[in-house]
Amino acid sequence: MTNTLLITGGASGIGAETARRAATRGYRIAINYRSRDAQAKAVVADIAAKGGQAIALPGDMANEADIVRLFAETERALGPITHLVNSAGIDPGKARVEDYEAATLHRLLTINVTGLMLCCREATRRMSTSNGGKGGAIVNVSSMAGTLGGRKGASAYAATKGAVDAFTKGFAREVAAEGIRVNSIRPGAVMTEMTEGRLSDEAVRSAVAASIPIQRIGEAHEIAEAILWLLSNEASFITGAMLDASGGGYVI
Amino acid sequence: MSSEARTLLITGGASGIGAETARRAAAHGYKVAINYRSRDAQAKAVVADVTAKGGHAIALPGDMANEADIVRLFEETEQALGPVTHLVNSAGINGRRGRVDEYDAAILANLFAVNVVGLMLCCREAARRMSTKNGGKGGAIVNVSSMAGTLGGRPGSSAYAASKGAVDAFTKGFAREVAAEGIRVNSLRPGMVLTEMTEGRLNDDAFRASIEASIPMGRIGQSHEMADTILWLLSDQASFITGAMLDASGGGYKI
Repeated sequence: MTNTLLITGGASGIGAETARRAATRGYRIAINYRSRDAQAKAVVADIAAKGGQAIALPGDMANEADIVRLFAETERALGPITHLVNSAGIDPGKARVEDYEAATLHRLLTINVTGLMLCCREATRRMSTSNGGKGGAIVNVSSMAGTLGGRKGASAYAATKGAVDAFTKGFAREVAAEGIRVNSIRPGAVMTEMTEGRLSDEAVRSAVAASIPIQRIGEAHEIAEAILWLLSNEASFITGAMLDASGGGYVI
Repeated sequence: MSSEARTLLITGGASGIGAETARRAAAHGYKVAINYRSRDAQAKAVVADVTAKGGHAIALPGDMANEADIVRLFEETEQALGPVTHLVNSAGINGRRGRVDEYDAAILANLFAVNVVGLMLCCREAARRMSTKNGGKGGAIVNVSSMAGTLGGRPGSSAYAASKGAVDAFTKGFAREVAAEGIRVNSLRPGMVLTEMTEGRLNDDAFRASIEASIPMGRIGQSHEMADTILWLLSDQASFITGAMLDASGGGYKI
């Protein structure tokens, strides 16, 4: 059967690397993006140049109508959605709790949690055998921050990833007998556009690397490989799992 | 490492998850040492299967409750197949299922000797050879744990569950210890899987149906699903994954 993979936040970082590698394995890819129009089109061009099939679709994860339209457009262009990677996410920047702004928190939770849940809703309406679908597989991109509360000033971001993990466990149970597998991947510190601002500071980078047992920052392709494996049929008995891809977590 | 010779030692490799891992690993190009305690004919049958398909495997007896056996197992693997680059600790026993008020000290001691101490000593032997600090070239290890380690197991399985909780905690600490020395270490936590360890109970239709009904996916797992997961964790595709516990459980337990 033809596999169609929708990736939210697919224009950069882990999402973009997942798109590139998925295309070489025969998936047709829909790359969602919010603002990175040129980058999304560049990923599509890379894939097309190698003989793959991909499209770029704008859509803001904070906007329900965008999400509904994203799924409808993907289906119209590429056929039934069989796989979903929820990679869209924002990092609001470091802040202590005493400095929190309500609007920033609302936006963070809307994108990282509510948007992801609505994508899972749209996927279930199509994939679930209870709804006439043929099953499918979903990977939610969480974070090691969700396990221990994140590095200093990242508690709010960590909270959104804790929410993603708890949702993934409950959702996975709910649809396990309906042909859908759902898992979380929890990257540790990985070089992406979300992190490169901080990690390009040599002192920060070496401090972070020293805090990781494997003594280095992860690469986006290492996370992409884990995502693609979880989506594959080799992972057929794996659902509701949280896979840490963190170089060993934290030196303690 | 894929272009170099890879040698995989599997403890408890004559049956169940270990045997399926051995068969599939050989097809992926690993040279495989299959350790077993009592299943001599089965171990040799796995070797014959591998050989018939053009693979390279040997069977080596050894009791995980016996330190000398473990030391010898690594030496013999190395002599026959070259440096051990990958290790799967799949040997394990159930102990005796029962309530805590019925525990027998000798049975508990043997359970922990095999499932925990034996596994730790295998990791010791592997670290002595694989660690870049010890002149090795790194490697990857998968410890076969169990979902029982997360919630304490089904009724009567608390002691078995405790042994797997110990495996998981050890895996996390050991993984940190050797992460910068080229060795990745992860745990796989299978849920209910049809193997020789479980088939006695699962052959009872009523029991099997009740187990299936308790699993969100509505079915028992198969050994090959665990083997594929183990082989992926051993592979270079998992290069940033160490100290992880991967649940392969069909969704855990219905709650």
